[in-house]
Amino acid sequence: MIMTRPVKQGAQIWSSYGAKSTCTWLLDYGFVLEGNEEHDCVAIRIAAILPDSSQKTRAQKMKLFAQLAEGKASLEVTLTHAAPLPDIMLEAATVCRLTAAEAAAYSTRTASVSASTRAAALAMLQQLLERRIAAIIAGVGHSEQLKAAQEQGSLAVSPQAMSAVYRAACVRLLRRAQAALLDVD
Amino acid sequence: MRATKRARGDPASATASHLLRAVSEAGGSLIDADVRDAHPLPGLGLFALRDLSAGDTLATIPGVCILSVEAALASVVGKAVTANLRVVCDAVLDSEAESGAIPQRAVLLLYLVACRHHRRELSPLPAAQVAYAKSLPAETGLPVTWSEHERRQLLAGTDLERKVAHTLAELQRQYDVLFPALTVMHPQLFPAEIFTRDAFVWAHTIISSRAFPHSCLSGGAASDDARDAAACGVLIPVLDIANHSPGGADMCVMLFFHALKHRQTENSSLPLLHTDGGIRTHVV
Repeated sequence: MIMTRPVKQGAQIWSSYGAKSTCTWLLDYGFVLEGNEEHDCVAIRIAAILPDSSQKTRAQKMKLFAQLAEGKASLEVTLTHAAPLPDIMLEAATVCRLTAAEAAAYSTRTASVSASTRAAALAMLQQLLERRIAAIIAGVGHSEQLKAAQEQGSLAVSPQAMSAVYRAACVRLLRRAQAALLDVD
Repeated sequence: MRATKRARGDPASATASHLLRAVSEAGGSLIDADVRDAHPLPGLGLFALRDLSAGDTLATIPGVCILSVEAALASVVGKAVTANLRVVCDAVLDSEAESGAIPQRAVLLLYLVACRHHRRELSPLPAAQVAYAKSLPAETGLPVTWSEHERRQLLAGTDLERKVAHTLAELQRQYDVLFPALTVMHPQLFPAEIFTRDAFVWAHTIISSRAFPHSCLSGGAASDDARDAAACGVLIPVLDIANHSPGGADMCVMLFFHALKHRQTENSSLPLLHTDGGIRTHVV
């Protein structure tokens, strides 16, 4: 074990386990970090919900959706602070909300869709994110636990406190995605 | 930015001293540093006993102290598992869990439990590995050890909810394949009161939170077995006491594997593990 930096007598000698998301820190190491936004991520599943579609349009949309989701019934995308709104997520929602005429003509994400279809897709994603946030903060006593964890500072060590820090990190990222949705023209 | 850690519980300083003595007797050393309570962080940490400069050697850890898949497979525990797995459990060692196989990692988990509860009269296991396993904390705080009630209330709606459930289900599957079959076949080697499902999960949490990459031993060998082993990591006494700093590491870890019984000859030119620059997964 070789030192790479000087360390004063009596000081703690640190290692580094690498850069990981808060989810991974908690899952694999049993601790959480403050200020870990750079590495955080949240997985979102978008199911192919195709309201008010005729059978033919449904089939066309399912085909388009399946191309995005590689044949699966739902598309899983990973949100990060650097990319809170992946293009594929927007496209999946857009496919779900295409009109019959648009579905027949739609080929790629560069295809033009009506403003109303675009708005419906954005609204679908907003609802999806809002439902996810609601599920996360619905955990018992989340706000109280988060306050207690913040008061404990870096020594938040109970499952309740670590969960509160983790859930707050998830909500921060999901809120960022929501804000990014508002910026989509 | 600082680490927020849950208490690692024991080991106490006395246990750490016993570990350091065992490592020393195996030919290793911790130089100009000691192991003590890392307060205000929970658990232990490494501390400089004098001003240290870049390039100073802080420790050498003999390979015989290291718990790896190879050490596990070569032990009486591993031999009993591999000899009887297909006969007793109708399973094979393989990394493909989908086929109902048991990953090599499970043998390392069993070996870690065996070392922790080792009694001299039962079986010969390396003293330094036994001292290491006994020095490990009884509680790790990982979510797989939380109660079902805690998991339901604290992880609802998060990615972790699914990941913890998946991990627990896979550990349970492996445990159910192995037990009680191994206990029936080898009651002295795998006593039921020691090889519990909780002990199996505990061993998982120790490896999950403390293991270094296996590449430091294997040099990235390409066989299926090596890949399976590589997924497990290795437990290296003393080095794993160093706490994580997101701000960057103070030390670069270079291990000199003398007396490493299980090292592959062709990899003998790869004696170093390098963790500088914040990556604990790097061979130089």
